[in-house]
Amino acid sequence: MDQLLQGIYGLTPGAVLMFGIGGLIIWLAIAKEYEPTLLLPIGLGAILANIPYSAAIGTAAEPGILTTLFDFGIRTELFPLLIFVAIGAMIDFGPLLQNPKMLLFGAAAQFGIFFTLCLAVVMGFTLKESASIGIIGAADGPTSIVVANRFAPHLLGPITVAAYSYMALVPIIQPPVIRLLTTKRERKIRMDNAGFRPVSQRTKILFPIVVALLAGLIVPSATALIGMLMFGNLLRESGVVDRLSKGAQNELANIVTILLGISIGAVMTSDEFLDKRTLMILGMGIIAFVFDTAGGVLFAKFLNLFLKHKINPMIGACGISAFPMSGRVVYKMGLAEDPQNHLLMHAISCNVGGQLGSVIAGGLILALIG
Amino acid sequence: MFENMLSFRVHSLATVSFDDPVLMEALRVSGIALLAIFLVMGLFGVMISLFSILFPATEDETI
Repeated sequence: MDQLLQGIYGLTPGAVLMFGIGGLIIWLAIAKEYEPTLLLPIGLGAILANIPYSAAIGTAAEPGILTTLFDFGIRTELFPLLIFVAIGAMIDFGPLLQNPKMLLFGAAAQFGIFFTLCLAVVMGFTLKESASIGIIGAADGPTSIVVANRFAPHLLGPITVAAYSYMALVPIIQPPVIRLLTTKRERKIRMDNAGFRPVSQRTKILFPIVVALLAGLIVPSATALIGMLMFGNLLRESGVVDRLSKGAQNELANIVTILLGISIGAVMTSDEFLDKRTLMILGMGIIAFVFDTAGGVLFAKFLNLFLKHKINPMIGACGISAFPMSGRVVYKMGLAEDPQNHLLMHAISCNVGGQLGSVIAGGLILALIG
Repeated sequence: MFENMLSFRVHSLATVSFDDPVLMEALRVSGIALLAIFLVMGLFGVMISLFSILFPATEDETI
């Protein structure tokens, strides 16, 4: 009888609290639709990992499925890198290739990463932990996982939850920051599509190859991240492996997302997650998103000092990687200010640039701090 | 000395010392990384513009 009740006897207040947190994450995924593909498995993973004597976690001698998946897919960085193949196959870099100056916003809107990195150091975290917290501002789940896994594996749970939750909260986080930093007149600036030039298929095919090569040569530590992203994109743009491209976009993305999410839950044990530092990480994650947004908007305003054809500064906010949420948010904000102001092309091209910028930022952090 | 973690953090913020080698290293890394991101993205932009000149879109692709 005792054996049957050992799970109940072994319950701790921490484990019960983690059941609540797992439930909350599942609720956010289902009721609020906040990144449900990731938060749903993470939520259940967190519950399974905190059941006393959970066979899902197992022991050092006999690791359970969650531990095995974590060791196989996260510790080796396999799952986040495979997700990059899928993301690359889903992304159409066309709008960015048509208007390459938008790449600069993909750089400016990484400011939040570095602001938060310094803030975390001031708050008492080590440099490597701070880098892992700052990278939440990459607004790019797989990059956050790779950096945190390399520098601060003990913080992987809260960092991943923060990264994915805040990506889903972009429609709530970004608009107030944009409004605070822009005037109504600036938000009404219209941008024509004259800057968009048609691009050849050859350019679309060469782009992923040359970007992978250049990024690899300049930042070798980013080779795996950017290489997998560009590999997925090459599958898409080559036009000769449609089956593989669709497989990467659907089957690969779905299977790896399931495995990634449930594995992350494995590190959300009460001993590691229930820490005051978790709350601080969640708080600094928001700060990273806010300063990313501010960096992009202020950079656009700075450029406007010199440009004849002004840029709508809201576009700068799309330089964060949260694709395509950020682009949609700015597009809708533009329409709300002026129903004739269609910023979608600019917003999406900038947003795609942000995807590239966040991966480069992750690679640079790995190179400079590793 | 500190009642709880939060007050310790507030204290940390209030007594930021720019002599702290870790903070200096963080500022150095951040500065270099931000500059490098702009350079790399600028390089990509130049590369795309070159491709557009070398391989202009055909009439079919323009449509």
